[in-house]
Amino acid sequence: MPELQVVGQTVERLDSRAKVTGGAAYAADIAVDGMLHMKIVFAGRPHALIRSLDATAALALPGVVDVITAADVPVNVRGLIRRDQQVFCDRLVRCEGDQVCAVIAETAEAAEAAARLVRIAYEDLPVLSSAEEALRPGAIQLHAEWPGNVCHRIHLRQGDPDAALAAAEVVVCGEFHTPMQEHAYLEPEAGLGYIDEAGRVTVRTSGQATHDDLRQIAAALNLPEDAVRVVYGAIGGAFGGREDTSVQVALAVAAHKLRRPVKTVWSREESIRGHGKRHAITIRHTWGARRDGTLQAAKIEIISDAGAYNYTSSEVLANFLYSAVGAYRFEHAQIDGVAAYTNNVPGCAFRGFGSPQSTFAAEMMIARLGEAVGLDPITIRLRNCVRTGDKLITGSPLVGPVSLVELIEACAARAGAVREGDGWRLPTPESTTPTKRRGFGIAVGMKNSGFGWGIPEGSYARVVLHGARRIERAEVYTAAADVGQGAHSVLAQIAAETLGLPLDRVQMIVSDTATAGDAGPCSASRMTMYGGNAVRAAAAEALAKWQNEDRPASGGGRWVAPATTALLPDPDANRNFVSYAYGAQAAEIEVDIDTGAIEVIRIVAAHDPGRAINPQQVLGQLQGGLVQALGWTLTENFITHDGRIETDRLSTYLVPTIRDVTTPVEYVLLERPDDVGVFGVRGVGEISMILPAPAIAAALHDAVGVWHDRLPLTPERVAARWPEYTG
Amino acid sequence: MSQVTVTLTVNGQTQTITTDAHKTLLYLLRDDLGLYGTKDGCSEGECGACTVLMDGRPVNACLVLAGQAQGRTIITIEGLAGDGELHPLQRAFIRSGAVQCGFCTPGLVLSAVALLERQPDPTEAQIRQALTGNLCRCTGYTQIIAAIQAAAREVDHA
Amino acid sequence: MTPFDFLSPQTLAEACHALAAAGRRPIAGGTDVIPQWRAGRFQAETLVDLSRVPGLSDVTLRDGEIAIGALSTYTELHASPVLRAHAPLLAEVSAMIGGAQTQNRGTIGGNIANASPAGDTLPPLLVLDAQVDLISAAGERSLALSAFLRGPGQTASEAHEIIRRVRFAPLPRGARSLFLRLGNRQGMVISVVSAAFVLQLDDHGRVEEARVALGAVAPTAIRCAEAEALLRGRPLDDDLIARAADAAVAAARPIDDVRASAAYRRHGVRVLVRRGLTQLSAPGGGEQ
Ligand SMILES: Cc1cc2nc3c(=O)[nH]c(=O)nc-3n(C[C@@H](O)[C@@H](O)[C@H](O)COP(=O)(O)OP(=O)(O)OC[C@H]3O[C@@H](n4cnc5c(N)ncnc54)[C@H](O)[C@@H]3O)c2cc1C
Ligand code: FES
Ligand code: FES
Repeated sequence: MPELQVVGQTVERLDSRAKVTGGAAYAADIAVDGMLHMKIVFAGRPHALIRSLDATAALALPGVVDVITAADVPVNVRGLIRRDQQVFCDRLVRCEGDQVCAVIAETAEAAEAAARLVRIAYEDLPVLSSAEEALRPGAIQLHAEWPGNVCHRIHLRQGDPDAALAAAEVVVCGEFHTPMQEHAYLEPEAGLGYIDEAGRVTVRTSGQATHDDLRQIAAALNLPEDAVRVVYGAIGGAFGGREDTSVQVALAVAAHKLRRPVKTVWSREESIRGHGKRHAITIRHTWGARRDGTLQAAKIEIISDAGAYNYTSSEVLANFLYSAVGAYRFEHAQIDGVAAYTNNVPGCAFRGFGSPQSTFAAEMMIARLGEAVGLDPITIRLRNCVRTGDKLITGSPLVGPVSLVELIEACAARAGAVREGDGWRLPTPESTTPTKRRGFGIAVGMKNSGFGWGIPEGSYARVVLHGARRIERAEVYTAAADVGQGAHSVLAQIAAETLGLPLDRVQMIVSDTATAGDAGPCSASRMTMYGGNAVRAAAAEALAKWQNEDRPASGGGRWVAPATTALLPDPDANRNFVSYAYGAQAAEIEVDIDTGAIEVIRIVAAHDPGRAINPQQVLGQLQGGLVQALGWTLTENFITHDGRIETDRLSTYLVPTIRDVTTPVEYVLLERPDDVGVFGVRGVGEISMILPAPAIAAALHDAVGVWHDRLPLTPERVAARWPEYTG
Repeated sequence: MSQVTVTLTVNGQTQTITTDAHKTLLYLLRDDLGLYGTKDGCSEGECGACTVLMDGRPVNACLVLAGQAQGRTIITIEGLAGDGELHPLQRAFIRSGAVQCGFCTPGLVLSAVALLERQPDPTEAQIRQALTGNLCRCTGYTQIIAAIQAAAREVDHA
Repeated sequence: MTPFDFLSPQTLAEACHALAAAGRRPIAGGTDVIPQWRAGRFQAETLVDLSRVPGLSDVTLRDGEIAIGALSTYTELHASPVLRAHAPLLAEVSAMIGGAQTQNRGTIGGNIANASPAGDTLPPLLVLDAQVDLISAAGERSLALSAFLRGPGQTASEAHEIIRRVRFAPLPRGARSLFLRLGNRQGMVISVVSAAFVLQLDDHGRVEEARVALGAVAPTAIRCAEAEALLRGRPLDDDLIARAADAAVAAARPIDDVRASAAYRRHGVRVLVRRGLTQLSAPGGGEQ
């Protein structure tokens, strides 16, 4: 590859100046003349029949313009994968965050006051508060179309796991519980609905895919897609939690009906109730291995709490078809998973898309196996982990270079482990405080980039070159969402590189369905990889036309990603993904045996970004993911009780503060380009999120000799397992 | 609805505003003055996105009533850059990669400004202490600390 | 979030007068009032802002007594030379509360009046034997803090009374003091258990005076009379410390909530009391 000029450089982000001066406009920062204010009335109860809804008193309040209900929505359903949630419930409420109606008034205060006057008579129904309960025979049914409350099932069988397990020299078992996680993006949901100058029903909001939002709005309003428009401004974080709609459809219904701009802004409590969460999942493993530690067979059961609606539960569960076994090779395996509808807040996408959960369980298993056969944690992993040319458990070839072995060795070495004989000697940190113990742990893993599973995938981009003798300005049109990760800046770098232009001659025209086709969502670590490919292809085409004297020269369209397949019965036919990210992390912790508090002393994180388009931003993604994982592992304790969320504030749901992340993290970055991604990039958005929990739990075991199978590792949970606990 | 009339100085300009008595300084700034750089991430003092400087000290604008701002001097993020010239901390945030989604940024920058005014050469522990009340969900904080250290060096050498 | 009216008295007399009418309540830093009001847990027709009333935010040492004006903020308390010298645990706790923003607004009077079982200044004030001075249009009175605190959010004061100051004797030379707390996060966290200690030892390591208070483990912050009685007059060795911790656990009446179980809180009391006393028993531990 020729010397790169712009790609590979840490350049100033396009949006950072606006963001440091307060000029960046997030959804709540838009105010237009004549704008109305909308207050959504949430059900606030997990399961109930709506007996009646009386808006008379609300409508009588001065300033109130309308109360919109199910009757105002032509096709009253929404949903990204499965349209199984009503825009406004007309009869049945299935979770606290269900929207029942919305009050629209001249002021936010009037809307808020009137919302309290809407009289809704509910008849509460029994609550399914966990997947296990929902799957019990005779449990009450939440969706008539999904008998047994089965939202989705997966099944895979390779070889003969039963026979292999029966014959195995060593068998280890485990059951793991991972909790829900709240995204806690700092910007609560907000948006403005209006009719644009072309008469389109328009919603300006924060999301992860303009076109996914658009399709749901158009379907609900029964309008052609070109009669709808979705625009994103600055977005205050997403992490998967904005893949599903929140305010979008309600705003569109209101603007469409009233023909006036309508704004809504959610409070933090509404945000926590109103959007999905990382799935709470129970995972049961039985592994068989040879006495030398070579893995042979696995039987794995996954029970996922989908919550009241599917959101992306079916897809998150499907990813366990490969990720359940971690980054390891098995000859025989059986994987059975079920996602169950319950009355909890829906499970949805969250950085890692099931991999934090699957990796936690698989890594705890390999750690236990190592203990059982007397191998150190590094050797047992190296003996079993996937290598270049290997296959996923589905039979799908692991295309591209697999850098995992290299990453594990680099991580181990940096963390202070040394090769000794045919194994590794690990650091044995000791605390100097009598009431504290130190421990060392390691975890390794992989994460697909891109959806895979046969989902048609691609990305649209268009590039227009202006100028006469030289290119004065390159316009890049993309609908890709910049959720804060810096996607627009990276795409600008890719355009500049392809065109041989300095960055300041590239102009990004972004996140508007009116100016660009579908870029696909910002999820699955795919935007740089695929959105970048689309921009590069568009730029190259425009450049060719420029060289053919087109003025302005324009190129682009839909770039189609290499095809993948769904899970096929014939293993050799499977080609489930085309790109992967790998990583290894080591953690040293100190635990206070009296209080149970864990302090993470040091982390070594070895990752392979393929190629870093903007090294500073790659680091930013890794750091951000790692700290979200620290929160999930240690402090973020999302508590629900009978379908009711008890941690609906940032004072009870504790995300890490700057005082909680004092851990020095050493990054070891090996760039091993993968040709599928533009300029060799691999996705880096998620991989660092999946490793801290198992690394810390392993370190905790090293410190105190106790395996913890349930997250988060709150002080209480840790202390309660110490023999001298007196509670 | 009861109203209050307050006179306060915001970003160097003294203004008199009549607004709802129960309104917080956060919404006085946003709705009455159109200063949208001050963000609402929780409205209960937990996230720091609404941080402004009141008489030079960082406070959560969401916990100050409009009437309590009477006679006070407020600096918001919009008032930090003079004549298009960025404050050294703003420059450092950009350069150090301390900005991702940016929703926390105005509050963080202002907390850091107050810190550097009191402590031109803060230790890492002092930085952490000063920024405890500002959550950031995107960056993991490392590059934010780096930005403040870089700005401190720059101010120091200026 | 029902609207309210707002009054801004400029003198103490005006403030007393303003609060004499029904439906009125004081606001100081607002760090409790506003979140509680948003959550529908704070009702008032009119809020009376105390922050402009002069003379309510001094920290003085006069005639062998420290007086802290109720409107003193945590930032001020942390910086106070008087407290650093004569009641250091109060200066220290002030730096642990919330973030800088909370410390710049939150006041000690608000923490007392709010009467949260987890209020972090309360155990230190209890071991300092603090008196609370109240003033209203009807006159002035003074109560021991231990009598002032009645239950979660409940106090012995009337709605029209203003906390004017808290008073206590400076810790004598050689007294040892300490505040410890457990929480679920490092920064910005409400205590799951807290404990404050004042201890005086004689030359032979025998306890002359012992005061122990706990937070977040009973309807109010509490003193542990049994533990104190046990400690007084005895040499502070491991055995005594263990028995004092037992006595403190027996005094606690914790509940389960989203932050921790009652069981963990009891365990936490034992840990903190053992740790606190052990730390204070070390040569020079927590000494003035
Ligand atoms: C983010 C955050 C973190 C926090 N962390 C902690 C913590 O770690 N530990 C802790 O203990 N607290 C914590 N708090 C709460 C703490 O800030 C308050 O308890 C504070 O001390 C209350 O003081 P204020 O001036 O803000 O009171 P306000 O909110 O103004 O008032 C509180 C109550 O006291 C009454 N009141 C106020 N002043 C007087 C007076 N002089 N006379 C009579 N009544 C009065 C009011 O009517 C009201 O009922 C935190 C709060 C926030 C927002
Ligand atoms: S909005 Fe004020 S602290 Fe969160
Ligand atoms: S950059 Fe997104 S919250 Fe800090």
